[in-house]
Amino acid sequence: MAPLSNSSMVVDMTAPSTATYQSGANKTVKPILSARNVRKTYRTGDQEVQALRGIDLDVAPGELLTVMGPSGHGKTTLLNCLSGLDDIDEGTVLVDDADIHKLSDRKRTDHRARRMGFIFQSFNLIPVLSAIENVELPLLAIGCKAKEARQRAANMLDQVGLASRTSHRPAEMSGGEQQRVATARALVSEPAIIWADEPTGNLDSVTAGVILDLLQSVNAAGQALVVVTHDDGVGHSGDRLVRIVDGRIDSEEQTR
Amino acid sequence: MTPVILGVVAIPLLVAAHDMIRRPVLRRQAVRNVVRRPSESLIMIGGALLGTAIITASFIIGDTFDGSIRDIARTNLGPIDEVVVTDDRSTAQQIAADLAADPIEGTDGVLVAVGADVTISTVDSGQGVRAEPSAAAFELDFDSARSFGQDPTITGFSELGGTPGPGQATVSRPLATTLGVTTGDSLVVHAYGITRTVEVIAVANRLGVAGRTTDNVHLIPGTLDAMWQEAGNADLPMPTGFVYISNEGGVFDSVDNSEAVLSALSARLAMSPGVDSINDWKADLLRDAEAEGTELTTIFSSIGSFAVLSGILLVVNIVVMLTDERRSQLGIMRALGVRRSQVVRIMGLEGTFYAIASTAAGVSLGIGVGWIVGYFSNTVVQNDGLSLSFQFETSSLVTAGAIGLLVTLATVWLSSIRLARMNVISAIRDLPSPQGVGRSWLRDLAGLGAAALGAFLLYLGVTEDSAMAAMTGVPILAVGLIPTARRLVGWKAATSLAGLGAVIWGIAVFTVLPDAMRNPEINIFVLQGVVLVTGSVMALTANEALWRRIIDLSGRGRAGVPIRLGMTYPLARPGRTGLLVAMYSLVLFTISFMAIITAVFDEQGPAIVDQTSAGFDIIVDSNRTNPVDETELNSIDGVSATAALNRIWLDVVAPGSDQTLPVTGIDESFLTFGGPELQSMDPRYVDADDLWRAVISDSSKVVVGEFTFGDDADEVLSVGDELTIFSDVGAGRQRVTVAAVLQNDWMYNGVLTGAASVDALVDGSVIPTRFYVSTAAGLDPGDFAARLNGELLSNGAEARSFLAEVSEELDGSSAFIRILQAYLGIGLLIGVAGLGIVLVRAVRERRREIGMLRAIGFTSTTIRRAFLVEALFIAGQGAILGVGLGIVTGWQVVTQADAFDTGASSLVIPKLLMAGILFGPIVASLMAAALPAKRAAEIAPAVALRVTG
Ligand SMILES: Nc1ncnc2c1ncn2[C@@H]1O[C@H](COP(=O)(O)OP(=O)(O)OP(=O)(O)O)[C@@H](O)[C@H]1O
Ligand SMILES: [Mg+2]
Repeated sequence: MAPLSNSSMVVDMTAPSTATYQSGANKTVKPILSARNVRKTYRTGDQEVQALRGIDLDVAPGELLTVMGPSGHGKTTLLNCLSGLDDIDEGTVLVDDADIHKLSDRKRTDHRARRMGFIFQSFNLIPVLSAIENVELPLLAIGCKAKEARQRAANMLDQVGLASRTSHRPAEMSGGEQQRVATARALVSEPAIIWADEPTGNLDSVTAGVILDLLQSVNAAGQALVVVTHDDGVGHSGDRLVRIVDGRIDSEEQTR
Repeated sequence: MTPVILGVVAIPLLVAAHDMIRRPVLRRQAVRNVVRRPSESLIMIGGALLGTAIITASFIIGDTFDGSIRDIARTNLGPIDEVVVTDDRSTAQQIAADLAADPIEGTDGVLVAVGADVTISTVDSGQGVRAEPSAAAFELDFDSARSFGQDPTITGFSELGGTPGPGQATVSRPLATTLGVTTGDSLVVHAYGITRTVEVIAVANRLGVAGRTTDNVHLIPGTLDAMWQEAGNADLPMPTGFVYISNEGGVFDSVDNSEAVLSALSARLAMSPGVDSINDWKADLLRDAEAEGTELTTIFSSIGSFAVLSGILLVVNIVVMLTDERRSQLGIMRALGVRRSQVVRIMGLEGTFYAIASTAAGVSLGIGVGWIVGYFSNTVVQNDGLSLSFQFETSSLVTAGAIGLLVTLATVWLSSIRLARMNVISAIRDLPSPQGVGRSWLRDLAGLGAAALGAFLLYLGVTEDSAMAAMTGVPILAVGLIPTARRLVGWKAATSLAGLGAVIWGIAVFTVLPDAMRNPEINIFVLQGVVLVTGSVMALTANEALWRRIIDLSGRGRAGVPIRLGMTYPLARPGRTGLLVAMYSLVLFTISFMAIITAVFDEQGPAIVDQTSAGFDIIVDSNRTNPVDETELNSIDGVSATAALNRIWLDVVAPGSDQTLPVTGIDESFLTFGGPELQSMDPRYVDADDLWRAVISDSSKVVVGEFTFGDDADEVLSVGDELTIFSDVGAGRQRVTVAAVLQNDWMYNGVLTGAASVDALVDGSVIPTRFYVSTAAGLDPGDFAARLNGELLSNGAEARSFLAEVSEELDGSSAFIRILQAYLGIGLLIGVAGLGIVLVRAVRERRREIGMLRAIGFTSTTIRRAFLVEALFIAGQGAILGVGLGIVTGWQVVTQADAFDTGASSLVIPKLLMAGILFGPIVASLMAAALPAKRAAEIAPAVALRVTG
């Protein structure tokens, strides 16, 4: 049974209603991303799945936001819709004051390239490119000079501890190494916001810890992170934890 | 051959039939797979049928030629198996009487005929005259002809009534059609300068004895002898006597006896006076037919083998693509307890459906393709007097179908087995399969074996002048040495060296071993294509790093991303890419090489005329029985000079060859403009003029063409070679020495010697039947030749300008080459389709990666471009490689080795055509890539990223 099929009419009162947000540092800052009443319905044939039913969510600069919730309740959908990977049916998502869903595909793509990074559960590296070539891709997407891109990618790989693996192909690396490359790829263009969908889902706990440390250090450097996770430990290691149930924000807690 | 193939094919078919009937679970699953995605099933069938179609068409073309030539046995010979040609009627009658009294075992009839080459024209009734200069007149008794052999219906006389009376004639249907006459009309027979007007009493079908030489009339016996006597010129040959002998059996099965009958005949008649020759015409014809048919099947199937290879590659790709998609489905089945062998059998059963459907469709399409090729070939061969009637043998269809079925089934089963066995982990992680270190000694051994084979082939190439062995020896040797050499210099260097070595050898062999590579057949170029392309692809693949450097240079920055992706993906799949590149370049190599050779030949027209015409403008051939009178010819307004050539056919023996060839006597008039161009001459003569005069006066000196004996002689002829000319009369035989070799013998004068020497050979004065004519200044040779034809009608003159003669021949071979090129084009089509399929497959395989690229900020345009670059990279490599190798080989063969004896010293590149050959396939490939590229660009990232690996 689809978890969202029996719709509830209860209005969710927990969502913040202002455009500002109290960050962990208790300072009022302008959010980097601001979503209002985001709705998304999947239609397959005559079946409808209301995956998001009115999401209001802000992400502050430098914030580490974790998202948890039962499987199939809309976490990935949320990530896709807020990052502009997927279209929405209703609502607005403002990033840098621009409603990304009103932009043309080209502009939205460009926006992603400049402001966002992505980490996926199944690494999604390009198998035919070496580690360094994979990492420099986002830089090339934003028109960075080839030489500079290569240099920055090398630095980034160094930071994730893979200086000795630059010319390895994904198939020649362990899962943990691949995810570190993927992380390096997400970070290399120094995006303002990084989306990570179960980044440790495919890794053992030790390797997961390595990735998590990495993400936290990045966050400490001032980049915002939105991490979807099923792991309680990961969920409580951020600034704020949002729980998604039935396509709505069920609860929200400060975890730091 | 066919039973073996059928036997092999039967095994998988039986397995499939068994599963179909006894394993409903497998059947249901397989049928569901076929039906569920009809468009993919159709692509599969379409990919597989092309190869079968090509094989079928090749067989049908061979059958059409074989059958059309064989059919001449029915239309022009009928019961005639062996023929004794005699100098006159009485000799023939004597021999026939002897043979009738004491028949040779295995024969069932003897028939006497008399014949002569004549010109037949219509009667001038004020509307102009139609004439056939090369017709024949025969005389025989129609009743005897009807009862000749056992079956009157094959003689051609069964419905013809009685022998023509005085002033009457029957005319063969082809001649009647040419002349536009029918029963009741009158015809004029021209022979020995005498004419007879006869009334047509019947038109005879071209059949059996009545169809001899196609264009004929039959007269009352005695007419030709009377005409010859009336002419009163003892130099003219008397009407020829023929003794036709029929073996037991019908038209075709009777030749089984031919060998025995021929030797019995020879034993009995060898020394008889007045016997000109003893022949097995029918067996000879059927041998020719079979040889010709087989040769054409070989040409078209070797040209078509590229298409077949491409077809196989296409099928492999489709099978892999289909199974990839079903991997999870297969995985679930395995999890549910279906055994691996059953998985294979489901795919095998499914593949059997495709194979059967594609074989049926392929054979049908092949019949169509064969018909089309036959249609166009017919327009080419009609010049040579052959008329092709489309036909094929059921056994050819069965063989072609069986081969097609075998290829498809083998492909399907092997890829199914491979996929079912594939290590799941390495499949997912896309790792190259590890090299079997433990068995490397085995590979070394196999390599050394191959090297030894290559060395042996090279040895054969040198000692036996075998082009095929010479071409393949060194490349096989080089490849065989790779496993050993890699220990010394590393894999990359070993492979590159072997590849480059093969390429260099493939081009240079024409210069290194000129004797082996002279006048090569088309198959040799197919082989050369394989050598060159394999070598270059090997070298390219081994030096993948080179490409990476290029990618690093050009694939920089944002604009460079499509380039990097478009090139890196195919580089990461060297096997798949190499095959595609090879497919393109093989076909394009052959097409462009052929285009160059054709262009070089076409360009040579005027040069060949200069070399061969001895400075004259027009060549006139006339009947032996009714020759043109030289004084009459000279008196025609517009003729400024003439040379008479006494051209007769005699037995000429060279080392390793014994042929009936033209022996042509010349006199001083032949040298009016200096004579034809010489390629080489005996240095003892001061100049060409000195030499020609020696040849005219000295009966032991001759001039020949390099290829006067065709491919038959041990070697091409050169100065100093000794020949023997045999004649049944007069001096009997003459040993001669080659004093000079002609630049070419385009007019086929064979052995050139003095006119007096020819007379001495036959102990009489030979009447010239060939004239070279020079026209007065300002006259167009072509127009003037037409005028001569009119004026010399009764002589059966055929006047043609040298230029027309040469161009027609050149056009004929160009036309045939164009047919072959078009045939090759089919292979290209499959190549393009194959690339399209590979890209469609690539889009599916890379969905998630594309989704990720879109997510991290690459636009759909970038994705689309990456796919177009990929197509461009593969097709461009193939096209540049193919056309480049074609040009280099053309240059080498034409200017360095002159393997075709074109005499050309510079390469002719038909620029527009070559541009088309280069860019046409590239554009076609980009078009084939457009759809998959668009699909890739349209991939929605959010959806694509959800797909689980
Ligand atoms: N393309 C689609 N078409 C139809 N329904 C979809 C599609 N993508 C997702 N869904 C549905 O939307 C709902 C939300 O899916 P989503 O992937 O966002 O869940 P999730 O919370 O990320 O689950 P998990 O923790 O298992 O990853 C699910 O019920 C799913 O079946
Ligand atoms: Mg999810």
